[in-house]
Amino acid sequence: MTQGSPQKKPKASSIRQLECAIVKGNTKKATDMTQKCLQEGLSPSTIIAQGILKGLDTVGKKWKAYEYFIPNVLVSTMATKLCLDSLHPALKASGNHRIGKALAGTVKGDVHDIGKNIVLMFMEASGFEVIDLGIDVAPEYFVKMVKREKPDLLLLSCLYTVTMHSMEDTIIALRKSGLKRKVKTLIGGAPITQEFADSIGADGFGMDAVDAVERAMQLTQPSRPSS
Amino acid sequence: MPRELTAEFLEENLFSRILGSFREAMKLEVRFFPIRNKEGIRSIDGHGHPFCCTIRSGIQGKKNCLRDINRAIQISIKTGEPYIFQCHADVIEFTAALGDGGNHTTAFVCGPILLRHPDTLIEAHILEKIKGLPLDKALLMKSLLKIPVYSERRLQSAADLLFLIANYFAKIDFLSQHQQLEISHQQSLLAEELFLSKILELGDERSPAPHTPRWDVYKEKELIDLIKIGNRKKAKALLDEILGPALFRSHEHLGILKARALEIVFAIARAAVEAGANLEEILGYKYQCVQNLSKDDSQETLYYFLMKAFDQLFECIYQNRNIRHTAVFTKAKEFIWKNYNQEISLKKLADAVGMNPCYLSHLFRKEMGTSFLQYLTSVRISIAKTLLKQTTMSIMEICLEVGYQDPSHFAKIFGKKEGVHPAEYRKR
Repeated sequence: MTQGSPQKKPKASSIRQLECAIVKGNTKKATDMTQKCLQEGLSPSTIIAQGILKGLDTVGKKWKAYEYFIPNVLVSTMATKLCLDSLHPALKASGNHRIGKALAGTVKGDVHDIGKNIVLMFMEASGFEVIDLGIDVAPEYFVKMVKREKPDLLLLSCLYTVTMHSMEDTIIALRKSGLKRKVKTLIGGAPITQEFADSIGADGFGMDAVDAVERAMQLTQPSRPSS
Repeated sequence: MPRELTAEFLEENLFSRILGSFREAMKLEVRFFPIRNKEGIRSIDGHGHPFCCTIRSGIQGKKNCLRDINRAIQISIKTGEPYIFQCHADVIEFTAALGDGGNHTTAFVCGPILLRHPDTLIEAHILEKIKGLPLDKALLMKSLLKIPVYSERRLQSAADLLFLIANYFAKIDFLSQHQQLEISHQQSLLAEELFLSKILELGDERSPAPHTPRWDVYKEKELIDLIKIGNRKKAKALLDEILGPALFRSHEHLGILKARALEIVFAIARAAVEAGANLEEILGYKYQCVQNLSKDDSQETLYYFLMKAFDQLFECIYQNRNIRHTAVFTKAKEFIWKNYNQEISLKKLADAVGMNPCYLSHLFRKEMGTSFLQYLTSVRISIAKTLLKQTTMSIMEICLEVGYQDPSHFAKIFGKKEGVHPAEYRKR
C-alpha cells in the first residue's frame, strides 16, 4: 500500500443502497437500485425484506426519535410504493401470491395514523392486500367493512390510552355480529401491551411494524415457522 | 379573506400583505375558510392551482378533495398544529384549523406541493391514483410540472410559518386552544396511570370477557373520610382509583356515567362543608359542575372536567386552613429551575412540593400573574436564549437541552414568545 494514498471505501451493495434510498426518500435511486438488485439475481422477496423493509424500519425508528417528521415519512413511503410498483411484474412472474387480506384503521376518538401507515407499508410489502379505513373509525364501521370485505385480519391502532377502550368496543361489536371468529384481530400502538390484548380478546399484538407483520403472518399462516 | 379573522382595517391590510408575500415567496396557493359546522368545509370551488382545478373539474374529484381536507382539519383541531398530508391525487398539502373546533374556527389550506421532481414513475403513479376520475389527463400532467418542489425541511417550515402567522392574526382565544392541548396531554398522562393500575389489578388473571364497571361504595366512604381529615394527597389518589377504571372500562351510557359522577361530586361537596369549606362557595361549585357536565358529551373531556371540579372543591377546603404557602411556592419555582429540561406536569410539580395541583396553579396566577405552564415556558425560553447566544449548540441540541422533544414545536414556542425563529435570534 502506498503511504498517504487515501483508502477507497468499498461501494455498498445494491441492496444496501436501496435501503439507504428508502430512508432518504430518494425515489429515483430507490427504483434504480430495485432494478439493479433484480438484475443481480436477487429474488423480489429478498429485495423487499433486506432492502425495503429494513429501510422502512429505520424510518420508523427515526420517526419515534423525532429525527424524522411527516414530510420525511411521506417521501420514504412514496419511494417504497414506487419500488413495489416496479417489483410487481417480477413478483407476478415468481408466482408470489397474496398472503392475505387485511383491513386497518385507527380506532374511534384517535386521529394518529403515521405509525399505522408505516405498518401498512410493511404489510403490503410483505404480501398482504391492505385496505386502510383511515382514522377515528367507529366500531360499527369496522363491522360493516369486515362484513363487506371479508378480510383475514383486522388491524386496530391507537396512540392514546383513553382511546384504548374503542379497541375493546370494536371487538365486542365483532362478537355481537358473529364475526369475531371469522377475522383475526391484531392491535398495536404506543400504550398497547400483550396483557391488554389478552384482556380484550384480541388475537395478537404487534410491538412495532416488524413485529406486527410477523404476528400477522403467524395468524394467517399458523403452520409457518416463526423467525 | 374571512372577516372573522380581524376586526381592524390596518391589521387586515397587514395580514393581506403578509399573506401575499408568503404566497409570492413560497409560490404556494393559500386559502382560508370559515368553518361553521362540524362537517368542516362544504365547498372548495373557485381559485386554486391548475393541477387542483383539473382534479376538481368533476364531482368525484371535488368530493375526494373535500374529504381529504376535512379529515386533515379534524386532525389539526385535535392536535392544535398544522397537518401535512398526501392527498388522493398523490400531491402534498397542509391544512390547519384555528379556533376551538366550534363555531369560531377558520381553516387554511395550502398546496399543492411535491417533495420530488416528477419523473415518469411519479407521473405513472399519480395517473394510477386518479384513474377513476373523468378528467383531462394530458392537461393534468402539464400542470403537474408547475407544482413547486420543496425539500422536507422547507415544507415543514412553510407549514409552521403559515400557522404562526395565521394564529397571530386570528387572535385566537389561546386559552381554549391551550386547553385542548392540555386535555390531550392530561389524557395521555392520566390514562397511563389508569392503565398501570389496571395491570396491577389484573395481576395474573386473564379474562377475555369484559368486566362490568361499578363504583366501589367502600372506596367512596374512604374518600369522604380522607377529605374530612384533610389528607388531600391521598384523597386525590383514591379519587383517581375510583374514577379511572369506571371510565376506562365503561360501556355504560354517558348519561349514566354523568349521573354517577355527580353523585360523587355532591358527596365530596358535603364532606368539604363538614371539613370547613364555605357553604355558599361549595353551592356555587356544585351548580357549575352540573352546568359543565350537562354540556359535556364525551368520556375524554368528562374525566378532565371532573378532575378539575374536584380540585376546585378541595381548594375550597384548604383555602380555609392556615397554609403557609410562600415557602412552598418558592420551592415550586426552584423545582422548575432545577428540572426545566425534563417533562414537568402540574401534578408532578404539586407532588414534589406537597401541594394540591389546583391550589398551586392558583398561586402561580396570584403571585406571578401567569399560569404554571407559561412560567415553565418562560424559564425554558430564557435558558434557550442564553444557549443560543453563548454556545454553538445546534437548535436541535438546545431544543432537547431545555426540555422540548420536537424542534419544530420548540421553534414555534420560541417564535411565539420572541417573535423570531431561534436561528434568527442567534444571528442578532
